[in-house]
Amino acid sequence: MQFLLANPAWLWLLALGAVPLLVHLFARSNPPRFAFSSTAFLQKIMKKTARLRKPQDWLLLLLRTLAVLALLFVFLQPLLTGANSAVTGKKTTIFLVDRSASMAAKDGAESRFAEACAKAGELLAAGSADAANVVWIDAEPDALFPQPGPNLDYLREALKRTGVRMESGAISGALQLAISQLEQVQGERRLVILSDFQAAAWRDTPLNLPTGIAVEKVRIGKTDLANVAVHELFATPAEPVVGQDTLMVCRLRNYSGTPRRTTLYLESDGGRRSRDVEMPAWGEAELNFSTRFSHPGQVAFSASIAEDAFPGDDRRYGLVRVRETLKLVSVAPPEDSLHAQGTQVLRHLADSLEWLECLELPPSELPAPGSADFLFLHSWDGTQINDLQALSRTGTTLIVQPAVGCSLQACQQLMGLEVGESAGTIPIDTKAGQGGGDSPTTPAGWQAGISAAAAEDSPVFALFKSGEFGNPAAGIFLQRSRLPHDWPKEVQRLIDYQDGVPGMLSIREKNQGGSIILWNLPLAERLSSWSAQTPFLPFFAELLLHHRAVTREESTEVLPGNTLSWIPGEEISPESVILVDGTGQPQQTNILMTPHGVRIDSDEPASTGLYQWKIGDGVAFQQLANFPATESDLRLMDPLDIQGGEVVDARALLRRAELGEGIPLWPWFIAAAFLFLLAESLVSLWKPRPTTTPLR
Amino acid sequence: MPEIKYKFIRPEDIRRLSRYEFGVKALVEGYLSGRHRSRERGASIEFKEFRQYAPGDDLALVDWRVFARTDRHYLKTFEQETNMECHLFVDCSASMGFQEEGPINKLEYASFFAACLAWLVTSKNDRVSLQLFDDKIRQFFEPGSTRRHLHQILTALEQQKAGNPTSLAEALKRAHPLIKRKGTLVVLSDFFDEPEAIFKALNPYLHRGFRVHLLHILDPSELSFPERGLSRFVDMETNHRLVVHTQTIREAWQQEMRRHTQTLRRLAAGRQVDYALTTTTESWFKLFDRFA
Repeated sequence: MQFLLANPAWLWLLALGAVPLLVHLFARSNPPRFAFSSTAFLQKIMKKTARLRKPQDWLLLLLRTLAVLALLFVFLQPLLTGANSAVTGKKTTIFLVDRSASMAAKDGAESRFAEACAKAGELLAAGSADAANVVWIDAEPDALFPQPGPNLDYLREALKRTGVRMESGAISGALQLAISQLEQVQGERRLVILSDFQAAAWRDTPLNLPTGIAVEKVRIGKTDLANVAVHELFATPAEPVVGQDTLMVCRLRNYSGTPRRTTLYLESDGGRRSRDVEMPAWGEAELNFSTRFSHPGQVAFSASIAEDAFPGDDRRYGLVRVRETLKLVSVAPPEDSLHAQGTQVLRHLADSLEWLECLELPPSELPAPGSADFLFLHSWDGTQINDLQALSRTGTTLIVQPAVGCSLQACQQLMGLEVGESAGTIPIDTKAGQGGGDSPTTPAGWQAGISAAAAEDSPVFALFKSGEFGNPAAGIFLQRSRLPHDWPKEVQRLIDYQDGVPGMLSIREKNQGGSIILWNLPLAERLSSWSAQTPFLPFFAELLLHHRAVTREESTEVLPGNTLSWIPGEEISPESVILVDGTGQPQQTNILMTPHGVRIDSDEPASTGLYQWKIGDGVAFQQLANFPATESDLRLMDPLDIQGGEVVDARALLRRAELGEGIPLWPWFIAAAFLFLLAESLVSLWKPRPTTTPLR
Repeated sequence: MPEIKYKFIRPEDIRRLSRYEFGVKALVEGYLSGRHRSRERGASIEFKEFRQYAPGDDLALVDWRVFARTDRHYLKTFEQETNMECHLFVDCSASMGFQEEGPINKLEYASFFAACLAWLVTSKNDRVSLQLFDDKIRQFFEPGSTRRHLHQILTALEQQKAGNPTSLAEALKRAHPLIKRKGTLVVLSDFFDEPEAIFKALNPYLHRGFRVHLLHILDPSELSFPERGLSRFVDMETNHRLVVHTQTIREAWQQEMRRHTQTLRRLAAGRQVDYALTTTTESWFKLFDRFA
């Protein structure tokens, strides 16, 4: 810190500080004479009191001199400035203000974000920078100015107007933006980070900044806040068919060190259900609500809890697309194949199930990705593996029946397993009675049943646990592929032949796509009597329903802070489409031409809630944006644990800013002068206590 | 009676002094020769005692009758009867010239009292002596009781002016061999001296049987030390200068004066010496009342 005089021209006034000394000396040098009888007693008294009186005199003189000097300094307008105030050059400061969802938490009456904006505004008002800018830490970091500018008033007004966003913060992106702006300016550069330093967001975020940029971390928020959040909400299956039992799964999390109890409300299809739930400390609870949908289309539902101190994550939305039918595509085998009758079996099967639609494709032809829920390859020769895997990734469940000549390696490759060394085709076992065109009547074939290795809680066989529906693989099988007995653990064995040869294997696609079922149970009536058995229909239905892709439709959910977009299709005029938010307020949109057709984007980034794309009064498409789950954990971390930068209290920053401008000290000098005069009066009035002995 | 032409004794004073016969008598233990019983053995008709002869004794005093009966030499002694002597010590130092609140200065006050006492003593045919001193004895008048002697004393008092430093102890010490007979010693001073030194100088007198009266004369301002602000105090005796703010030491001065008078009073009481403090605003006849 430096002590400066704003009015040094009057420095000569300090010479007047000698006035008290001169007065003191002058007053003592020429007092009136007084002839007295004897000064011996006076001398004696003076000697006695000299030890006390002389320091008292000097103290009085000192206090008077100080009082006069303090008053004289008022005219010189002294200033207290920072040590670096003498450094020349432009000062540029960028305030990196966190406006992610966690900043909506309230430590007191106001949110952390409001506190951060207020402090940034105070720092701007204190005039700590010649040019400044504000960079927001949110999902899409942006700055108020394209580069730091001198219009600090605008920044302060913008800080007052801006609100927190229910988004996660892209810290690295915001840092890069701020650094890139600072690197373009010269002089003293400073980056002030105002954030709650939420542990979940900042834990692995080092501040790797170029040299020459001073970083100051100002922590907003005092303590970790307890919070209960609706952490996850989804329906399973994600795309149920009309009338299908659907579970709406809701997961709650307790972000506090004490067990919490709350009530969960689920709103769906115009109904509202509630359930009490208890959560352990730092624990999670899952609640399932079963329902059936009576109409096809997009159905929105939401889960909410009683509002707590951090209400942003107390509600969550979900969307489920109710399907009228599921599409089963049957790729016909070559006409000369023994499995040719299998397509007829599936056709009959679809006729028996209202929710299943069966389409047939010629041999070697595959459906377009995403166009089929199931693809049954009656006689797969081991080709088109990549295309089939692509279909699986897009949510199509593959049911593959190896044909004669198909290799085991092809099956393993399709299923994503480690390919074995053995080469050659899978051997085919055939029993007598086949090829006659009649159904097998002799019991010479193989029998199959639920695999001993099948999980007991496998939902596919839930119907068959009681035995009421019999053996799901009842019947005689005359032909089969001799698949190896041993398969990796990730392969689920569903049905085995009595001799242990796998009859049906399944594996779930690693990226939450459709399952791949290796089918070794012939459907053709010439090769098995299975399709004629009573348990066949319920088993096949259960198999399809429980091997649908679990992938939720991602296009309906966007992250807060991102733009909403919808491709309406060629038959819809984009000008007739409007976007409304959850409160029914229309949103601005932009129409864009893309290779995939016309796309409509929202002008503003999405906040949390449900959005509807409407054509007239009808809802054409719905999208939702949910609170980012990572923002619910309101535990803070010590900014010292973040590498780089200096941790500074906001008051210290203000103090530095004031020092940069110079703190006027004249009020302090006036106060000091009064204090000195008061002390002088007290010292001059002080006398030893007199004795009360009578004189005579 | 002396003619009324003296400064320090006025007709009204003489008329008033005429009422102090008894008091003065008590003060001076007698005023006629032969009427006062002396502690000295001497020639008179009052037998005192027999005392064994010692070489050097006057053979005329040997009682031959006792020698005849006892064959031993005994002296027959008689109590001496004499008139009384009063010795006045008047301080004429410069400090006695101080006057601020009183109508007269301290020396004039002391002179008034000394003149009246001298007149009273001589009027009863007792003898009075006078020592005028400062740091030494300025003038010494042998004890006498004549009109001429009184005239000389009164004249001397009128001619005195305050000056020179004070040394009462020195004056008492120097006056001691000049006083042949014991009597009553009256000291008039402002006693700006060390009390221990004063009483040390008085000890020879006390051992000789003198009755001692110390009359402490001060101007009232010397007791109250009135406020006069920052002043340069000039010592009237030594011309020593001292700059003092009266406000700062007023209470200390009063305390010091209180301690000084208390010391004098305590030392006087321990030696059966009469001590009286008076100011120049009070009547000196009160001192005669005090001795009555």
